[in-house]
Amino acid sequence: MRAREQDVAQKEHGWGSRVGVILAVAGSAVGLGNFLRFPGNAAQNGGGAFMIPYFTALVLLGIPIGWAEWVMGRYGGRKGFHSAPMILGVIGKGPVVRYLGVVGVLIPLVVYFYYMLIESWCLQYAFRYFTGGLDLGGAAIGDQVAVSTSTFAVVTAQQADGAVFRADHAGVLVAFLVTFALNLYFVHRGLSKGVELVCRYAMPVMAVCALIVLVRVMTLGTPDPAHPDQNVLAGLGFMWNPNFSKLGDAKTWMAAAGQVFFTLSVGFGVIINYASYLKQKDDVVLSGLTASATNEFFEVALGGMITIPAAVIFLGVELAQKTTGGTFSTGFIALPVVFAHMPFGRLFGGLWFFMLFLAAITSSLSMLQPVRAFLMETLDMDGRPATAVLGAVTFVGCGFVMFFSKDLAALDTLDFWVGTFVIFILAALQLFAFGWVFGIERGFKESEPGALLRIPGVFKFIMKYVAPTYLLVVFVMFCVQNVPGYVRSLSQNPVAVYSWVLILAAITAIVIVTRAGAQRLRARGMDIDGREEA
Amino acid sequence: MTTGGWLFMVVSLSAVTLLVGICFRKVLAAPTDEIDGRSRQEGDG
Repeated sequence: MRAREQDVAQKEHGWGSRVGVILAVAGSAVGLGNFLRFPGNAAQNGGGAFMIPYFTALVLLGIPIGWAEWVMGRYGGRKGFHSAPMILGVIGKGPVVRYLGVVGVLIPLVVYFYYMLIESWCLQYAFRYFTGGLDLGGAAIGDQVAVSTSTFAVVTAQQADGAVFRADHAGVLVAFLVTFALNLYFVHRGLSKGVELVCRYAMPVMAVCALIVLVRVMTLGTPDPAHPDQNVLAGLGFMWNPNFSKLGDAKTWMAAAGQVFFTLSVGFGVIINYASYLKQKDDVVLSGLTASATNEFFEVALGGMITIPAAVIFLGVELAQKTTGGTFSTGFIALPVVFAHMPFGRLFGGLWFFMLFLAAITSSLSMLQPVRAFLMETLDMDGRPATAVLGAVTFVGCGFVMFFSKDLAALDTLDFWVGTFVIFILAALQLFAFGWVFGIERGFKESEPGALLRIPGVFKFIMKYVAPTYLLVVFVMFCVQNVPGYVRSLSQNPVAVYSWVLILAAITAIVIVTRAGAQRLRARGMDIDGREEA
Repeated sequence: MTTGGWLFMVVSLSAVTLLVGICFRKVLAAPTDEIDGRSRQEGDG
């Protein structure tokens, strides 16, 4: 009898663990990148013109570099390192790659500066829906779009720099402070596991919610007779009709690769840190692929299929492409109009943004963790002082983005140059370190222990030759086509200059701390330059 | 929506859905102790 009970318990435990794994993967896969950044990026880069470089980047860059990052992280962890600069120093065998690896700390830190702000917008939207403050009612579609657009402008305090400190924006400031405090509290108390647990249940609810909203969007038909060209088929056509005319524009390729990296957290400094805590026998190949595939399903099949057609239906193609207020704005403006056309729209709207808020919290916590690990490793700090330093630094950074809110100029500058361009650089650096310094054969051998799936051999060729060439060509083309014009435009955009000062200050600080950490770890006899084969 | 658009959409969505299905099938087919081991790691990070 006892044996039977044990057998049943074991089976139940096994079942629970498997479902837990699936839900945990799904939970970690979903974030603001899927439902807000992807649709905005795709719309602004021409819809169908964006999808071709997007899928190309997914197959040739996102998935293989993700595998490389998982393998490098686990290897670095075995050597006793947990931060991107130190792990890359070991993989890249020396200080050059280690110091270039500081971008693996810069990216999660700076992306957090604005990501947390967007989280607070989700909280505000959820609050407004649940308290009746965002009811577009049965007004004409044009009026609904106008109300939705003005609501977004208020929530994001876009009217002027420093508008958030005006009395009529008190709610914006409160939402910011609540979100900031929650993030810091969760990191300080190490409650990310608890938040993950909540997300294991919240994410399936969000998936169901997304499916219902998707069905509603697909059945909208032509809701505004005054604009017969704005219908579901036009929305789908904008997203999927292959458009080869923009394939010569390096910015589209850069944006597509950047979106793939952002959404998969590849080239982000997050996976490499997370994987450094894995054991040698833990699988990294199937885990990495499952996380990527689930993420893509949420991003393309749900996030994209909901928001892009909705934006075309209610805003029109031209406005959808030019939506003011940055990459993340499309979803905030178009979806409230969709909810206004649904039964129980307020409930769905509130649930949607609250789930998005929860999903974003887990993602932002995963951004703080690599920076905290970096401070603890390099400065030999305990958790509490590391969290305090992190709190002070992120308060300044998040405050900067929140203050310079006019047309979201600071957010957009940081999102493109750090959230796309620098991620691109880190991805290239990791690929170079993995394929050419560590060695592709050795890297593949490192991926094998515990693997539930073997990386197909063709990826050796892709990772060593195809992906680096791809990255190099896009990088050079982008620099030639865009950088000179951008540098010239800086004189008319002081906020972009301030944002660059912030980025350079952060890089300088991280380099100094990395140097101090390298000296300290070397003095302790650690193999920081990867000289010992292990 | 052009024929090319329909084709691109159907192929892309099918490929993504198929990949998710294959991955989860392999996750579910993996030995329990492997899964448990990995599940424990979720908390380590």
